Amino acid sequence: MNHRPPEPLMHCDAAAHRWVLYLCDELSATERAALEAHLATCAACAEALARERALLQSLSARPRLEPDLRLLEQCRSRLGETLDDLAASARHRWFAWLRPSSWLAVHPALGTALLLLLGVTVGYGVPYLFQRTVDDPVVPVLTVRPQPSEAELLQAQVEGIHWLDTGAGGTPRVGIQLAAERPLLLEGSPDDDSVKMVLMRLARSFEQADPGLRMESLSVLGAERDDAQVRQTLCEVARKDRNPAIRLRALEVLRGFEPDDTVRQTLLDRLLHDENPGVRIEAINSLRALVERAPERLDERLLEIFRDRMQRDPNPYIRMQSAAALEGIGPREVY
Amino acid sequence: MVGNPAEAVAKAADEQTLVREAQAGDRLAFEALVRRYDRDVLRLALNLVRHTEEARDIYQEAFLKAYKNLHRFRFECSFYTWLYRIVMNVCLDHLRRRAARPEEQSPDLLLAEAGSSHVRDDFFDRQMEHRAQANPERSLLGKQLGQQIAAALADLSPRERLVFELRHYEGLRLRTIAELLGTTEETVKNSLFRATRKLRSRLEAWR
Repeated sequence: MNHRPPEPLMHCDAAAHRWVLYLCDELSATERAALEAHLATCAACAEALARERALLQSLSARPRLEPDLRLLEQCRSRLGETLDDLAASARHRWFAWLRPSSWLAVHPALGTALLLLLGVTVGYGVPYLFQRTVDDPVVPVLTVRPQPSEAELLQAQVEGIHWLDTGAGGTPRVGIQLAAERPLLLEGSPDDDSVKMVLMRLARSFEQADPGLRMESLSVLGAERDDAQVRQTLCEVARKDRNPAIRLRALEVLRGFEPDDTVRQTLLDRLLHDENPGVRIEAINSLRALVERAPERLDERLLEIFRDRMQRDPNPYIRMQSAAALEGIGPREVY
Repeated sequence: MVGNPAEAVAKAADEQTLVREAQAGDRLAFEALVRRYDRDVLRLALNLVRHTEEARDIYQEAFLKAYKNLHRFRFECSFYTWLYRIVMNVCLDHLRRRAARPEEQSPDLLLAEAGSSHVRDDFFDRQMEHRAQANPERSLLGKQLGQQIAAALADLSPRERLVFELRHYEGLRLRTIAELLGTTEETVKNSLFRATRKLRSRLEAWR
């Protein structure tokens, strides 16, 4: 059994200091035991403790006030209103700060500098912003009136081609969006010189311009195949463009114009030299159509090329068509 | 009170979420926190000052301070402890202001004059009403003792008054009171000892 050493006897003054804690149950077990040992032997302290207990009981008898729901709701409501006011005043402070007078008065030098900076920024920034806006293809409405000069057209880069509503005479119209020193929107029928010039230049810019735009330019130019200059351009594209789809498209646009010497030479050249079988097929079909329509154009040079292709072309369709052309029989490509 | 430990953990987690939402500016989350503790806060204020308007002021000031300083709460203690530290400071400020204006020290009288139905009548008044026919003289003495107790409590220093209120009427442990007041347990013991000695001296004649 573990025997704890006896606690030293407590003095009455020390006991008096512990009455409150004893009655509040805030003494440690050791302190409580020591005080109780003292009280067991000291009648005066025991009587004083009884008086202390009576005092605390009297005080404890004091009624506790309990807030009812109405008072609680009043407090909550008042707090809610104050929080609303706080939120509103916070917003007001932000808006007030935006008023120049609020900070210009406090920091005049800084305010003036800021205003100057703002002016410079607006002066330079706003025109730039407008320019950026026009670059946006969604805003082609910045139609330039009057039409752009020739110099501007020569320097302009085509950024978009759109078919517009048919004009008064039923002529198709096209809108060409241009990027130059100023934004331009060129509108007109395909036979307009400006339109043709821009589109032919676009078609010839083999590697620089967007292939989709080059392809679209060929479609528009196709409406003007009667123009020798346009045909010349289309033939040049068929020979030189590195994109086989564009070369093929150029030949397609030239259908029906095979009797033209330039076109005929282009077709022969493509049949002999184009590495793309699709382009060569288009060329042999066009040449066969030429022979069908104008047998008198079947000269020695053309026969020689047909013979060559019948023997050497890696594509069987081309070989077959070449043989058919030579024999004057065979399937016809129907356009 | 949450007796079940699992419920206590869930409540603490829920409270942490509410605090974080309130810190992020969610007004409803803050109001939910207010409703968890505001009845206790109002009860403490009401019993400390025994004055409805002052109790309302303490409520308002305490929760407003909590709202404005919520971003400073770092979860280093429970939200209850943090909130009650604010409440303690606000109560002490009110008691100090009241001590500086002795003419305003008649709290129980003010409550009685207010005649608010939400505040219980004085215990001794009720004693008088309930037992008037049995012992009118005792009822009168009881009422006088009640007034003496109120006056004796009003004579305590703000800190002594608050410590006595929290220990004897709210039933908080001295260690908890020390934590809420931001002081040591020994200091709180001394305040309680001094408060009891003053009350004993003041009420000596009535025993």
